[in-house]
Amino acid sequence: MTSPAPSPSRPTDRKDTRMSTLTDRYVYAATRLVQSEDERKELQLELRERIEDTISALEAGGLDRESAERQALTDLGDPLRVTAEYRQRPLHLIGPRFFYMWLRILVIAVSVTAPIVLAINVLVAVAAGETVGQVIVGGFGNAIAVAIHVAFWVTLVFAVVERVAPDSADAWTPDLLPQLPSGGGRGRADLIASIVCLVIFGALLAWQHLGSPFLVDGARVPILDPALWVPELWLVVGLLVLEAVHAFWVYRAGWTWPTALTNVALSVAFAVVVLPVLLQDRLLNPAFVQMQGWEDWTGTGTMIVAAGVVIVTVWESIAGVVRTLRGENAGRA
Amino acid sequence: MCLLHYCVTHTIVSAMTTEPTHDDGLLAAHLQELRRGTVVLAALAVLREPGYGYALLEQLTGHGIAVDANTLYPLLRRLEKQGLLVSEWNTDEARPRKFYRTSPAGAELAEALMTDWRRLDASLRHLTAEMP
Repeated sequence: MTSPAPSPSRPTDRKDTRMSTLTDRYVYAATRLVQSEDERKELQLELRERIEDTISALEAGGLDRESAERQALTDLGDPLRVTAEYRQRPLHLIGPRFFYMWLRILVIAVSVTAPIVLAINVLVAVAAGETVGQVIVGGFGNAIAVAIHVAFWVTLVFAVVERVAPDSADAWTPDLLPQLPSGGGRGRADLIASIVCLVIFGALLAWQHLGSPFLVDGARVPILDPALWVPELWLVVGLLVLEAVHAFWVYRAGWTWPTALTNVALSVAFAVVVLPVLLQDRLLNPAFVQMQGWEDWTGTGTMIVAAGVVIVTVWESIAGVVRTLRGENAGRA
Repeated sequence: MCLLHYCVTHTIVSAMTTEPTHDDGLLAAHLQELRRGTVVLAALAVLREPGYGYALLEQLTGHGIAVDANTLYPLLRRLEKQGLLVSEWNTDEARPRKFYRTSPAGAELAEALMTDWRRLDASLRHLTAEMP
């Protein structure tokens, strides 16, 4: 312990060692999680000063030392809370600064991912010929599991941000206001189209692996190379989720520079993941290619698909920017 | 979702303000609210002479400024962090004590707060005098 040594000139302070241990234990409990040694020592000294002063005052009021110490520590309360107040650490997981941002992102992330997982699971289970009961239980079970995962990770990230972000968090501006509901206008149609496409794409990805109709000796032959699942296909799944979140964002905020630039980033990220696979001819499952007798055609085929990916990426990126320039962010109401 | 949202927000707000249900609690809560800033002012004024936590607590209480130790000690640290107080450990006595003293910036702030306090007092006098 680095506590100040009790003065030998005042032995009455520490007659009973058991009594002093209560304060020692309190100071230890309050400061053991403080990382910086300088800060910890300072806190220990300050708490000790406060406790001793309080004990002396209570003793002067007629209490014996043991009950005075007990009373002083009781008044102080939970040591971790005291330390948090001394160090101005938040006593909440997510405070007012980020509460609504957290709530918005949580609702969007859960309501995007859970239905996608549900759809994929149902498709896979149906393709595998499971019973209706199995399909429902499996689908909802996995959807709930994913919702819990997403909620946990989103909350964890916000809890960390709450503690590391400097106080001058981005202020709210009127630009952040959502569009008025347009009664099924263009924004909503775009949103629904995007989400449907993403869900179908995600479902196809799962189906080609788990529900492939091509069988060899009764075993399913995935169409895409199973070696691609880690990491490429998981990256693609992640990008699909981000695309869905982005679609919601565009629906809420319209086409603005932030949404357009994020759109470019997502499109490019997709191309970056997919193009090397295509150019190295690693896309299709060799077993599947052999089974179909396509060995001579895959080279040409993947090149054509790669060219398609490049065109779509450029098109997507430019389309977002053009819509931003046209000002398709306002007036939809 | 909306209901959940309301519940969450409402619970947090209730927890923060601890709405009292009876009149005594209501008065106490409003008095506490009213007095909150005066502790800073009083501490900055008293600590023109160096002093330590417990002595300040007793001094303030003795002068009718009721303040809880759990408020005062963290407040002293915060004021020091803001540069309004400076501190020094005094190890001359048996018990090491952290002595705080109002910095020039703190004195300036106390002056500004005091001016505003007097202005508020005058305003409230006018307002209550105008009442029928």
